[in-house]
Amino acid sequence: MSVTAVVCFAIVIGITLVITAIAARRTRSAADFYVAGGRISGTQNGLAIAGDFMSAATLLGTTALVFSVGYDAAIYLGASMVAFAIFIFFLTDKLRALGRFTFTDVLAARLDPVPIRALAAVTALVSALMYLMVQVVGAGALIQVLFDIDYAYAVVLVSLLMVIYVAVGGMLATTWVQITKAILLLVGISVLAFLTLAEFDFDIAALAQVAAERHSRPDALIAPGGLGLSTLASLSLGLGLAFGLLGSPHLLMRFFTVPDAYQARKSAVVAGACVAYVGLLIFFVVGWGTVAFVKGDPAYYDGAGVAGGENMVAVHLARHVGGDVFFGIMSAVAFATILAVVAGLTLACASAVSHDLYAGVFKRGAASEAQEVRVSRLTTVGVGVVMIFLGWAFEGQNVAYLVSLALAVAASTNFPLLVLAIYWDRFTTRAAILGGIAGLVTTITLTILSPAVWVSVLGNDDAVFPSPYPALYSMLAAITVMVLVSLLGPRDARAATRADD
Amino acid sequence: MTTDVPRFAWLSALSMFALFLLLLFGAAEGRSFLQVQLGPLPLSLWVVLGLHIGPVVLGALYLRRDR
Repeated sequence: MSVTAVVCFAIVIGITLVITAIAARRTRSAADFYVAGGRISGTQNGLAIAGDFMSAATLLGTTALVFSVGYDAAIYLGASMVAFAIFIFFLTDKLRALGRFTFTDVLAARLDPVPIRALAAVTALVSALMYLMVQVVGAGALIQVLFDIDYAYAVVLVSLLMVIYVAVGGMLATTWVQITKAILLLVGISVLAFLTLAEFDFDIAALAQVAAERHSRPDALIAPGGLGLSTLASLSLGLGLAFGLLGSPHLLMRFFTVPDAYQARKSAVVAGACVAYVGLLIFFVVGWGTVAFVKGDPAYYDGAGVAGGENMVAVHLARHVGGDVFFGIMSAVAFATILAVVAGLTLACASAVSHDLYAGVFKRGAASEAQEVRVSRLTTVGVGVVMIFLGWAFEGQNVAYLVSLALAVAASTNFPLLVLAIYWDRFTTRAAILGGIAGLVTTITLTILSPAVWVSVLGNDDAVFPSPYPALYSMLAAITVMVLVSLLGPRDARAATRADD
Repeated sequence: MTTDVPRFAWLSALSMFALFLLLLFGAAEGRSFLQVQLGPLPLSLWVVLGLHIGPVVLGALYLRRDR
C-alpha cells in the first residue's frame, strides 16, 4: 500500500468532514437541507454537478473501455454531452422556474400532485438506489485494491461517510464535497494527461501511433465496432445513457440550488465544460496512454489479467508516468470521486422519501419543515444501513446490469414524465401514471429477461430478450402509453385550467 | 405543445443530437462511414470533438443571449 495514498486518503476524509461541520451550522430550514437555501452560484453549482455526474465509472470505467474496446467508449462520453446539451437548451430554466426541492415538484405543478408524487418518488428511489448500490459495491472493491482495506470495512466506511455528509450537512455539505471532488478530478486528470504527453515530448501523434501498435486491433482507437453492437443495441445503449442521465434525480435536484433560471443554465454550461474537458483528456490522452504503457506490460498484469481488474488501468498509468506519489494522489482522487457521487445519490433518495412520499403523499402537504427534515435524516441513516448489508451481500458479484437498469428506469419514467409535463399541455395525470408504470415494468422485465440477468445471474442457457440494453424499448413503451392515454382519455381539470391560462 | 424555446436552442440541441445519432449508427457493427478521412482526422474523431466542444460553445453563446 502506498504511504502517499494513505496520507491523501486521510486528507480527503478530513477536508470533507470539516466541510460537513461548517455546513451543518448553516443548515436550519428544509430549503437549506434540500437545496442549500438556493444560494449556490451558477459556477459553483456547475462544478458540483460535474462532481456529482463524474463517477468512478467516468474516470476509471471509461478509461478502461478505451483500453479494452477502443473507440466505442465514445458512446458513453458522447451520451453525457448530449444530455448536457438538452439540459442547457430545454430543461434547466423550466426546472428552476417550476420546481422547489425535487424534480417531482415540477410534475406536481402541472399534474395531480398526490398520485404523481407517489409514482415519481418510487421511480426516483428505484433508479437512485440501484445506482447507489453499484457505487457502494464498486467502491468497496476499489478501496480494497487502492488502499488495502478489507472489502467489508470499505463498504462500512463509504456508507458511514455518506450518511454523515447528508444527514449532518445536507445539500450544502454535499455541494462542497462535490465541488472539492470536481476540482481534485480536474487537476488530477490534467496532471495525468500532461505527464503522459510529456513521455512523447507532447507529440500526440506519436502517442496515437504507439497506442495503435500496442492494441490488439490496430485501428481500434479511431474506428468503431469494438463493442460489436447491432444498430438497435447501439441506439438503445446510447439513448438509454443520454436520457437516463437527464432523468437522474440526483442531477435534476442540483438545478434547484441556484437562485434563478439564468444561474441554472449557467451551471449546466459550466458542468458541461468540465465534463467535456475530462472526457476529451480521457479519450485522446489518458485512454491512449493506458494502451501505450499498460497494455501488455507484465508489470501491470497478474494471472487473471490486468492487476486489480481493467478498471485499474488509469491508476496503473498514473504510477507509470508519475511514480508512487502520483499513484497515491490519483487513488485519493478516485476515492473522492466515489464519496461525492454517493452523497448526491443518498440525498436524492432521502428527498424522495421525505419531501415527496412523507410530506407530499402521506401528509398531503401538512408536514412541518422540521418533521420533513427529520424524516430525511432518518431515511439517510436507513439508506446507509441498507447499503452496508447489500454491499456485503453482493461482494464479488457482477452488478453492472444495475447501472443499465437504473439509467433505463430514469430514461423510461422520469425523463418522459418531465419533458411531457413541461412541454405538452395535453399531458394528463392518468397518462403519466399509466405510462410511468409501463416504463418501469417494461424496463425491469426486459432486464430480467436479458443476458445480463437471465444467463449470467440466473444461469439459463439463452436469454429470452437478446439485448443487454432495454432502454430503447422501455422508453418507446412508456412514451406510447403516455401519448395515447393523453390523446384518447379525458383531459385533466388542472391541464384545462393551465391551457386557459 | 409549448413553443417558447428559441430557434437557436432548437437548432443547437438538434445538431448535437444528430451528431450523436451519427455516432450511434456509425458504431454499429459492419458500418464504416465514420472511418472516412476528413482533412487531418477521420470522421470518427471529428464526431467526438464536435460532441464535446459543440454543447459548451453553443451553450455559452446561448447564455450570452440570455444575460
